[in-house]
Amino acid sequence: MFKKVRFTSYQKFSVLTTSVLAFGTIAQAAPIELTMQHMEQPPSRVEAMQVVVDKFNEKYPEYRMKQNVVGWGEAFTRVPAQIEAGVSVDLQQAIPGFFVYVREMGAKGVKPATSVYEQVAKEVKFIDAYVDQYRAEGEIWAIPAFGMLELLMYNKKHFEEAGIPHPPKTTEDVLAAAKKLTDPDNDRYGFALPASDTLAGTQSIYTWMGAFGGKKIFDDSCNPIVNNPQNKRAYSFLKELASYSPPDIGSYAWAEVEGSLVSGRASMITFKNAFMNSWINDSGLGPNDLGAAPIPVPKDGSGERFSLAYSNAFMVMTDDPKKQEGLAKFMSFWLSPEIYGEWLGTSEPGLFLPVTDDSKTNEIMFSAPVLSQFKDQHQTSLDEAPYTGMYGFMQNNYCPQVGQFEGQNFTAKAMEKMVVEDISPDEAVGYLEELMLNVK
Amino acid sequence: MTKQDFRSRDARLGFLLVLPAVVLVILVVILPIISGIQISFTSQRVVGSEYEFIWLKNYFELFEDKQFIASLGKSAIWVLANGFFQTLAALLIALLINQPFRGQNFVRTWIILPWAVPAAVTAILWRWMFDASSGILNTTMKGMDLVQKPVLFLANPDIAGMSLTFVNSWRYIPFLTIIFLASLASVPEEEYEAAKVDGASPWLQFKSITFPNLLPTLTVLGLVGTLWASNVFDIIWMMTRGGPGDATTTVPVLMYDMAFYGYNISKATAGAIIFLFILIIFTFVFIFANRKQFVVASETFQDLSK
Repeated sequence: MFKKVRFTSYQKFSVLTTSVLAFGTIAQAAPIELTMQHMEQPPSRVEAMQVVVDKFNEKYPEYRMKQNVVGWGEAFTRVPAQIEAGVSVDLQQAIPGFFVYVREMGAKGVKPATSVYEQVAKEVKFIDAYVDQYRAEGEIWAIPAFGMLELLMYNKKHFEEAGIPHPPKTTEDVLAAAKKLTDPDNDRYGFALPASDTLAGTQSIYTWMGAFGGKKIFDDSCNPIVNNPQNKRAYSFLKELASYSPPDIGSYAWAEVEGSLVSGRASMITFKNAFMNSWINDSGLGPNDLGAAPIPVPKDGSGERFSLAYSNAFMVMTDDPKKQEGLAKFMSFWLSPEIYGEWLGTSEPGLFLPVTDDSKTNEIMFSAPVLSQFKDQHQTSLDEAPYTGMYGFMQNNYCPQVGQFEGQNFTAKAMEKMVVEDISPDEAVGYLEELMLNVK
Repeated sequence: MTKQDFRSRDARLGFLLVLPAVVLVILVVILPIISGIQISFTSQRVVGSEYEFIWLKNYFELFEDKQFIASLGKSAIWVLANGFFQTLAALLIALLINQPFRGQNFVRTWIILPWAVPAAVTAILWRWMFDASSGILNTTMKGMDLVQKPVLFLANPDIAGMSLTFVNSWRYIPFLTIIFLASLASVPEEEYEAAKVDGASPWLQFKSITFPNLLPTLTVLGLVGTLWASNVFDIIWMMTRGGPGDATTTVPVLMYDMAFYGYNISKATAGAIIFLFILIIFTFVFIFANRKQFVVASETFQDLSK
């Protein structure tokens, strides 16, 4: 039925050459797949991240980066399961406590990121405070991407009305102002301190502990050292501050703290500079009425300029050198001034702070629609970055117990007990140390 | 089943039909429990991390752990409070809407709505309503001069448990009401007619006719409801995370906190296994003590399915 066809040598050669070339082209064109997984779930953050990813994929066609999003609520269960099942991603977002959690899984989980970090550091200069949170055992374990820090946020209008001329600089000023601004009969309070078993409580309480000089919570052997005079003073201050706070602070999380300042119910909070949109839309006040100041310190100079700062970073989960090279290129690209400035200005203005030194003057960031209205407040955040730290991560190492310290909100638990059960500050600090000692 | 029975076509078909469910139960219930028992004998801290076998050490530690013992007590109070409140309220509502009235069908259909609302939405909804400063409950009570200071529904340790019981009951009552309504429908109408002829009061009718007929249903719900209430986690975690203090820390809440925020999955699993055995023992005792009611209930369900 079919006639036998004979190919000439030339035809055979042509087919072979074409096949090899075609195969080579396809092989060369196949991009290296990279996946980053983050927990920044709000749509605006996912959208802003996609812009970065798309631009990267366009500039570097040899790579194909994609983002994967999980909520913080499920990250603690899903990420270890992914690692265990061998379907881990290449870049995984972390905060220090989460890094400690994933690090428990050993070598099959997070890989040392020192070489990737060094490649990125050739392109950008990182702020040390954000890198230090991931230094351990002589390695760097994650590449910082953005920071977050606590400030004293206040309602300038309330201060003017009460005749308080300037934001509090000392803890004594805070108490005096809070007392003056509190009027329970009219449901007005000087402060809104989250005395609840929440991360909002943990961060706020630890920030004040640091301001009183108690930022170091473990000694070099990882024994708890929180039962000290500095923290007793801090908790004493916090107990008084709670008396100038709304009566339901025992159930306050972030939303309630932010809401109390925006609604005018409270005049001061310790918070991240993270609610510009709700301030504009819901407070009935203008950008200039929102005050932002460094965390006050005790008048006698016994404390130190300090704020809790989170370094949101990306852990390297692959040991494939080609992928690691791609990850370094991606991080360098993301943190390059033009891309980073646009991302900082649009993703979550004010909350996400730059981790690179040169970004402090990034005009693209400052000219973003929302940030351009809150330049002073944002500048205050940027100025505080060098005076920050994170519990248990300040000795170029970390103590493993810090995971439980944060996860189970020990500082906030002690605060909550002090407010709910009316125990003394000394007892609260004793309870805090007891919680830390119980960690095995 | 004898060998001969099994050879019959019907028996084999029945076995084949049941097989997928059996396999599924083995895969998603039995194997995880066995795996859980194994993990509880180890020192594993995070899922997938390295560990060594420490056998019963986690169990001994838990029996000396004041927080765990307290959480067992809180779980017991939680179950009793929810069981009592939900059963009573559902029964009253069922009796009420079982009476003929205009719009009865509409009410019977839409009463199920809270049951259909996802737990996360329920938690957020009630958190807002309970809010001390802007919640509708406090605003209304203050507006009506019923209270001078806001009621701290979730921030006061003496009230938080009751608030959560109320919210959880709000979710479950509609479902229980539907079950009671179905059960009420099976009560023979002639019995009421005969009682009316004899001049029995409504209370006597309830005591002598309605309640005995509802007893099998109540017994089944008593068991199922206890197991459901014991394992409630979502509402408590999303509304109070076990607080204020440890006021609402039931066993599931404590175990979750211990496993994923206390980095101690093996100890938390041991706690869950202890809780599981307590519930299994309760189930056996409950079924044995009420075996007659379960037989009646089983016959009723068989009749209904015909």
